[in-house]
This record gives sequence, structure tokens and C-alpha cells, in this order.
Amino acid sequence: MLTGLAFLAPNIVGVLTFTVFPVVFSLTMAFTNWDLTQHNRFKPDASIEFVGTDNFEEMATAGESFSLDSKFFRFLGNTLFLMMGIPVSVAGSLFAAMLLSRDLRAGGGRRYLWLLAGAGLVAGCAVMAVLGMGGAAMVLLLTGVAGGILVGGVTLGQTFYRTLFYTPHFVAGVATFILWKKLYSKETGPINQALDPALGALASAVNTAPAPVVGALPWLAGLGMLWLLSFALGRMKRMWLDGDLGLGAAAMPLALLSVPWAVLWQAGLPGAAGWLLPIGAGGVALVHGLRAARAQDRFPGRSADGFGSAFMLATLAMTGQLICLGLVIALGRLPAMAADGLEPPGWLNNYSYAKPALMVMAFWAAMGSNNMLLYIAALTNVPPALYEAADIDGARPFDRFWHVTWPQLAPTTFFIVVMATIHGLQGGFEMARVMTEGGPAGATTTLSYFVYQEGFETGRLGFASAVAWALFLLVFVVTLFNWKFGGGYADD
Amino acid sequence: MKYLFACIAIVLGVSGLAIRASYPDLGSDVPVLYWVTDRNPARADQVAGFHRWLIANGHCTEVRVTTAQELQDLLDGLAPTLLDDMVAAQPELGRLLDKESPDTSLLPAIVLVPLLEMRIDTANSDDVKQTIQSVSGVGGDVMDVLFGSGLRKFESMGVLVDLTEDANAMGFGVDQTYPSLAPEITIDGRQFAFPCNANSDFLWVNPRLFEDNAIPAPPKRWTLEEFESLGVAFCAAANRAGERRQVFFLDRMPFEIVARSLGVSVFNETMTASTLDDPGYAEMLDLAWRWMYDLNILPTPDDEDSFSVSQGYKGAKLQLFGAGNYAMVLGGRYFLLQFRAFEALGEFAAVEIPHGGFPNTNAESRLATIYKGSEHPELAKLFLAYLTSEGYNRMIVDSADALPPNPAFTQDTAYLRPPDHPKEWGVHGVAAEAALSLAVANEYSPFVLPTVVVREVEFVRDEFLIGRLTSAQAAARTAAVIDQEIRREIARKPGLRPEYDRRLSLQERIDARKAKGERIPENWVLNPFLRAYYGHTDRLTAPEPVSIESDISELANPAVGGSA
Repeated sequence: MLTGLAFLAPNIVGVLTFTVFPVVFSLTMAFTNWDLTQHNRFKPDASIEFVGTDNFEEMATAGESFSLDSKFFRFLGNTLFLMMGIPVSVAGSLFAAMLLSRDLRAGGGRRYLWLLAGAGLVAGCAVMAVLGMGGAAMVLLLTGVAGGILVGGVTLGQTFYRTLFYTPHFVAGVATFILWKKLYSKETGPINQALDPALGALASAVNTAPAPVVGALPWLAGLGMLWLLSFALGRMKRMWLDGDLGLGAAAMPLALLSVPWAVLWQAGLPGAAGWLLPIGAGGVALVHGLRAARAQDRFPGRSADGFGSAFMLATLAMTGQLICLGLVIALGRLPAMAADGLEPPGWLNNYSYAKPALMVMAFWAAMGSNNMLLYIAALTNVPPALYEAADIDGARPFDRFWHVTWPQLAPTTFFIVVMATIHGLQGGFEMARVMTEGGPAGATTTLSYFVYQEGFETGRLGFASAVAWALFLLVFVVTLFNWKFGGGYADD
Repeated sequence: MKYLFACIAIVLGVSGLAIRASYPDLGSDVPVLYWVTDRNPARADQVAGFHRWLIANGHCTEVRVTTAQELQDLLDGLAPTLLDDMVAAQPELGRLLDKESPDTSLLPAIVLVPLLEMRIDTANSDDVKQTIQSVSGVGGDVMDVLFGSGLRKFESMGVLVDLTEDANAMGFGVDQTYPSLAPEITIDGRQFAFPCNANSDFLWVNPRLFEDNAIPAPPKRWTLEEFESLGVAFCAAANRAGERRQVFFLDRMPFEIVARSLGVSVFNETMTASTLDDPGYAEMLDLAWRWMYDLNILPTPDDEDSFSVSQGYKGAKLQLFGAGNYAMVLGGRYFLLQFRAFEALGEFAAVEIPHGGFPNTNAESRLATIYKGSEHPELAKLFLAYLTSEGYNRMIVDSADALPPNPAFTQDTAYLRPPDHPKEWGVHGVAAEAALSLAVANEYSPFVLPTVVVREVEFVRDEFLIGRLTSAQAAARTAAVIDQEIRREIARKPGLRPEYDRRLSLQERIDARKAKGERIPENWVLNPFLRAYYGHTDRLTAPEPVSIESDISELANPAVGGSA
């Protein structure tokens, strides 16, 4: 017994000293006025005082009163905005895992075909260089990389592609942040270099196209919004009829689906779109609601059943609808913008684009991360018999995914979502510090960066502790929520 | 397995003890002090000079060495670098102090050993590291702190030694450096630092670029209007029409100095409130917008990101200046540390920062402070005394590590016309003149941390530059946010309240005089910028008693408000 304790002691002491004590200590400090400039060994007369909830009140205050414009809420908003990329990242990881679970190695005559294609690309690069087309460096680079990937994939198959996809995860974060900063450069970044001619062509196309055609573009995006809403509601209705979704569990997903429409209403779109699209959405909802209500053959189920699937479906649909909404707004302004010529944005120095730019980078990093490995491992555990049964039942590829793969991956998805949510709430510090220093005007400052600023730039450790604990509470509540609803879903 | 663990534990313990025992400072017979400073090769020479100075000025012990054993003990007890410095100060002992093969035939001999050995610590010069280490009791003996803002932060933490009396007694008082630096090194009339060097910004000019584009070189002193018209003409000549701009007139305009030149102050006369809601501040913001986005004579953040160079001290600006992408760059004399490595660069010229009526520039410094937790604060003070010496100042002059702390060394030929660097001759005089006659000390309110002010000002300025606020809104919000921080700071630190109330009372009297159009007694204006500005605009009168119950500490010491 004593020997065992002796061996455990270093670890226990370490955990107590470096984990438990700081956590308890910071909780205590969150309710004090601890300030490095006032309370340290060189100021024996100054004592740390209990200030109750003052630090928490200050967090929520701008000016002299409660305000959602306070820095805490603004940076919380940034954090949550960046977290909107999580469902897309999870979907990307799943897509990558499914892609990489296939045998991609070329066999027989195909191998030579692929090798020939790769060699052709490389030869094309050489010809371009010889002909003095070095100005198209971007084309050369991309073509060369594509050729290399093709040749590597043909010869090494899955292993090569998996390694390639996982590369972002084992490259040092700061290095990738600097790389992306260069990619995002407004004038010389490859992204804008590629966008510039495309936008130029788009501008001239818009300027020369008949007005009704250009005017129809926002409506197409609006129809996309309506279709996504209809698709999600249709799926949820089907789940409800099958007894896979209860009314209690459907409440939050339905609320999520209504978010883009609330945003649309708030944005106050000019013209007929401002009222026709919400009416259309109401109509779609009414039709699905009436059909669901009239259905007589509902399979009985529990009220809390099916939250996980519905939540994921609604989150993805909401994200898609928000993208469509962005397109509605952007395409509505397109003729006016195109008249002066379209320019690619200054991604990291523009308040509107800085956050989405970081989200795209995070998506790139997350797609081939540990999540992908977890999904690959989970996919190998799906019994082939289930797919065979689905094939016998005449399932289409989407049905195979939705009714076999997706439910079988539920525990993995649940774990990934919980971890991604926790990391999302805590993260964002490194990329904001390296790429934007939290700017422009705090657009990319996350709560973790705010904790650093307050704790170490101004020395207000009490206030920083309060922010950190507010962040913890948020993580705790969200995780609890995940466990409450997602856990049951994963167990089903 | 348990034996394996036990063995590992023993090996780790023994290794730890061995490393501890082999620490260089443990092997030294003289106290070792650490100077936390930046990474600069010149620091090693400066430390060597300090050791020599200690010997030359008698801050050493006489060690009589009679036997070979005593000599060996002496050599074993001193670091090789210190021995080298001792030999440099006592060349006649060179063969005797050769650690490899000491010449014992010179025995007996008297060896002068410095009272201390100074070592350089560049790994901990980061501000956050210094903060954490100093409150934890493990700060460096001598700590370099950047500017008065950093000094105020560390002083408020109580980690700095008050040097006032010793500075006067040992000859490194406020009067030994530039008048504009007085508010940088003193707080409430007490001295806490002495400058390692000094700096006032000006504009470096590449005359060849102006010649190549057939544009007249800028005058030494110029207005904002002249700057704009010349900038527009230069950029039109230096860039191809319709293409992305690659050559800019200036890398960055110090808009806080431009605002000052328009008479805009961050704080009021008593530093109790912000005055950035002044229309002049909004005018400055509009200028920033016009020069960056409308006229594009200054690079936007996107333009800066588009340059592929992003390495080097002070970012890429010096490389871009050398490459001809910037006709002018904002900075100080210390840029020569890098410019001297650019062989291809031709002659330099220097001009003042353009002004809107009140020519001025900043006054800043890398300050040497003494850590209160040092085991040898008395010895550390010798280092600050060394900073006033001719040897150290000449070293700063020769290495171009900004300006020497003692302004007297900026007036001779060795400074103005260094024979090895003729292409710099047009710069040194402007640099010294900027520090001596144009520099105005920064404004530091005791009621809000300078770092917080900078952060809030930049935050709101960003909001203006991205179009979320108009210039007038940004000006109003900046003042409001700083005022809010002042109120919060006073609420958090009730000890500030009496001084704040006293100053408010004084401010009311100042405001009453201003309302009547009367001049203000010089000693009432605690804001060094406003004191200089009012002096320039003839709005000051002779000192008058403050006539309030308690003394305002800063009023008792005119050095605090000192300015050019």
C-alpha cells in the first residue's frame, strides 16, 4: 500500500500543485481585486481584498451600465462566431475520412495512366517555364504540386493521402499562421491573385449581362435558402414520423433553423426580397407542419429522442442558409459593385472578412486533424453486413450514409463535437496573436486573448481570473448540454 | 521496476546538483549582477567598458598576489571575460593573468579586481517576463525598461529602487541628461532610472530616390500641407499609373505627434481627464485616412502585408527603405545599426516630422533601473553612474545605438562627422537637434496605466480606420473610454482619490482662467506637453502658489513637468 502510494505520490503532488491548486486559487481570485501592480511581495501594506462580484459586473459593463457592447460580450461574440465553423470542420473531417477510407491506389493499367498524367503535368510546368510563362508562378506551383500529389498517390495510395491530409496537424502552428498570413495578403497573396482575374471576369460579365439575369441572382440564392430550410424540415418531419425525433428534442433544432430568417429580418433587405423570402419561409414551414400534423401513421417515440441527429442537421442547414443569405445580400449589391470593378478583399485587415478568413484557415487545419483519424478508425468498425443489408434493401449512396454510416459514427461524432466545442471556446489565442494581434478593432480578439491581455498586459489578475471563470462556466454549460442530449443520442 | 525508478531518481538528483554546482556565478569570487537588456552585440562591449571603468575609478579591491597558489586561486575565482576586461584595464598584468599559462615570474604583484561582475541577460527582456519575474523576487539586478510608460508600470508594482538621493550624490541625476527626458525617468519628483540611451524620432530621407524621380528633396522643417503636396507628386512620379503602388512617400506617420502639432493633448493640464475629444484629434484622424486610403502616400495595412519582406529589426521597413520602396522612414539614430550594413545605400538625409503649427517630436529612452529585490543594489547603482561616463557615451556615439545619454557628447565632431561614415553626416545633427530642441516628453497620467491608454487609443483609431466610426465619433469615444478607465482606476485604488480630488480642484481654477482668456501659471500645468505647447503659444505666466490645502507632489518638483 505504502509502496504504491509512494509511486503515485509524485503524480498526485504534481496534479495538486500545478492543476488543482491553481484552479481553486484562480476561482478565489476572481472575486478579489488582485492586481500585480498593487499586490506583490514588494508592497506588504497592500492586501488583496474581496470585491464580491465586481469583476463579473465590470465584464458586462460598458460606460456605467450593462451593455452588450462591453468588451467581454464583443469578444465572446467573436469566439462564438469563430465556433460556427465547427460543424463544417466536423463535416470536413468526416468527408476526408470517408474519402481516405477508400482504396485509392491505381491498379493495373490505371497506374500507368495516372503516372502518365502526373508526368504530363510536370512536363507542362517545364514547358511553361521554358516558354517564359514564369509570371504564372501560381499556376506553375499548383500544377507542380498537383502532379507530385498524383504521382505520390498512385504509388503509395491511402498512406500517402492520409499523411498529406494530416500534415497541417504536425506542422508548428505559428509557421502555418505566417503562411496563411502571406496567402491572405491583399495585393500579393495567392488567394487574391487567383480571385483577381475571376472577379474581373465576373465584373465584366455582370456589367454586360441583361439586367433581369443579374437581378435574378439574389433570388437564386434566396431559393437556395428556402430549399435548405425545406430539406432540413422534410428530414426532421420524416424522423418525427419514424419515431426517431421527439417534439422536445425538435425544439432547439427548429430554433436554429429560424436563426437565418431572424438575421434576414434584422438586416432589412431592400425591395421585394425583404418580405417575399420570409413569407416563402413561412409557407415552407407551414406546409411541412401541416403535413406532419395530418400524418396518421406516426411511429411512437419519446419526446427527447433524436436530438443529436436533428441538431447536427439543423446546424449544417443553418450554416448553409447563412451562407445563402450572405449571397443574397452580396448578389443584390453586385451590379453597383461591379460597375466600379470588383476587387478581392483585404482579408485580415478588413473588419468583415477577418473572422471568416480565420475560420477558413481553422477549417483547413481541422479537416485533416485528429478528428479525421478518429473518423477513419470509427469507419473501419462499421460492420460490412449493415451495408450489405442496405444494398439488398435498395439503398442509394446517401441512404447508406444517412441510415448506416452516420448512426454508427454517432459516439465518435459526439466525442469530436464535445472536444471541438471545448477547444473552440478556449482557442483562438495563437492565431489572433500571430496573424492579427486581435484586430482590426478587436474583430479577432477571442476570450482567451482577452484573458491574456488583462492578466499580463495590465496585471489585473483578479479580473482576468473572472473572465477565465466565465469562460469555464460557458464551456461547462455547453458540455453539460452536449452530454445531456448528445450522450443519449450516441448511446442509441 | 522500482529499482529502475529509484535509479532514475538518483541520477536526476545528482545531475541537478551537478548543474547547480557548475553555475558560473557560483564559481565567482566577486558578486555577479545581471543586466536584463535587449539582444544587441554592443552590450558586450558596454559591459567590458563597465568593468574597465570600475577599475579606473577605484571601484575595485587591491589583491596582493605573492605565490603561484594565490595566483591560481585568483584566476580560478574569476570568469574569463572578467579577466580579459581586467587585463584591458591593467595591460601590464597581461602575462600574469593569462589563465592558460600565467607568468609567475611577475610575482609578487598587486591586482585590481572590480567590485562586481556584470553579466548580460537577454533571454528575459520581454516585458511580460520581466513583470512576472520581478514580482516573484527573481528580477535582474539592473533591468532595462522601455520608455516612461514601462517605468510607471514597474514603479507602480513597487519593484524599483528609488534613486533620487544616490543619483544626485553619484552624478547620474536628472540634470545629466536631456531636459525632455526628465518626466521619463522621474515619477512624482522621484528618480527611478537613468537613460542607457535617448531617442527622438525624425524622418530618414533617401535623397537618391528624390533625384531619380526629379522631385525636390523635402525641407528640414515643413508643414502638413507641404508634406501632402510633395508626397502626392512623389508617388505619382515613382509609381506607374494604374498599377499597384509599390513606392510610398513614408512608411508610417506618427499621428500622435501630428496631433500634438495641432495642439491636441491626450490629457488636460492636471492629467485628470482626456481631451482627445478635441476637434483637432478628429482632424488628425481624417488626415490619417486621407494619406493612407485616399492619396495612398502612406501604405495601408494591406500594402504593408503585400511586401514579401517581413523580417528584421523594426519589421521590414529598413529593408524596404534600402530597396527604394519607401522614400522616407520614421525612426531614430539607432537605425544606423542596420543601415551601416547596407553597403549599397547612398547618402542619407534627415528632416523633421511635418507639423501643423507646433513642431515637435517624441522623447523616449531605454531606461536602466535597479530591481528592489537585488542582493546588491549599491553595486548596481555603480552601473548607472557608469552610464554618464565619457567612455560609455563615446561607445554609444560610435556604435550609433541611438543618442548618448549625456547630450554634451552630441556636439563635437566625433558625433557630428564620424570620419568612417561620411554619408551619415547629414543625419547626426538633426538627430541631436530633435532631442534637444524639439522633443516633448510623453504624457503619463497617474490615474491610468499608459499601456491601457495606448491600447484604447489604438482600438478606437482602428474602429475609425475600418469605417465603423466617423472621426468625430472616434474622437469622442476615445476620450470617453479613457475617462472611464480613469474612473475605474480610482475606484480600484482608493489611495489615488485624494490626489485626484486635489488636481480636480486645480483644474477648475485652470478652466476658469482659460474661460476668461487669461494666461495660466506655469507651475499649475502638470502636463509636460501642454506646458511646452502653452509656452510656444505664449499662454503661460509666472508661477503662482497653488493655494490648496495639501501640496501636490509634482508641483514641488519642476523637473517633473520639464520639457523642451
